[in-house]
Amino acid sequence: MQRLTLVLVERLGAGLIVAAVAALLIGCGPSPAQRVVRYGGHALRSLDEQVAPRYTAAHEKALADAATLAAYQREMEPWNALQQTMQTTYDAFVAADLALEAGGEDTDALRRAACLLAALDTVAVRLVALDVPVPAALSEALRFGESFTGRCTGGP
Amino acid sequence: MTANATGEIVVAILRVILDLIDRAFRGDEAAQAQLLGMLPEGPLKITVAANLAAEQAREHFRAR
Repeated sequence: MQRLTLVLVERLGAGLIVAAVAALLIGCGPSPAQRVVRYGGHALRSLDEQVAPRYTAAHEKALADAATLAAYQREMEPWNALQQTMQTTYDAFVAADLALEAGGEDTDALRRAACLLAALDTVAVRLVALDVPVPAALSEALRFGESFTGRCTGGP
Repeated sequence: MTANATGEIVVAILRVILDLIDRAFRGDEAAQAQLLGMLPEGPLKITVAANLAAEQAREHFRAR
């Protein structure tokens, strides 16, 4: 494979390949609505990396502290609320991404994508309730959505 | 930048893309999603942790 690549470089010239790769990447790029949706989804994935270990730590502490299953569940309630909000929001991003990929984009797609980003605000509220600082990626995703289409004011 | 250095960068980029294509064809869903620029499907890590925690908690309090 490496030899083939080197032969390609020699024969076609580096500049030509750079132009071809760039054209491929730019030409097949996502639509603005997809960019908004994917930005939000990736922000959630990034947040997930940070909070998943914290969830496990909270679970271990609750397991050691609680005398009953009900007490454990009470202690874990804010964390479970965060988990459910994050997963539901992420699933919505994935569904929107798939729908847009399948050609479901219309003139209103961008506004609806921004409305979806507004759901990240609920995640931020859950984080504040747990005294977990809202990561920059999440606030940036919220700002990114707003800068694209303004605040989501109407129904989706 | 010399032509040689440009060539090396191009080879590196192509290697990454070819590796991604290879993994995608082998059924790696994350690679497939990355190749298409789409969001990977599947549960978040916090959901996996929550499911595991719920199971552990049930076992823990049942054993008491």
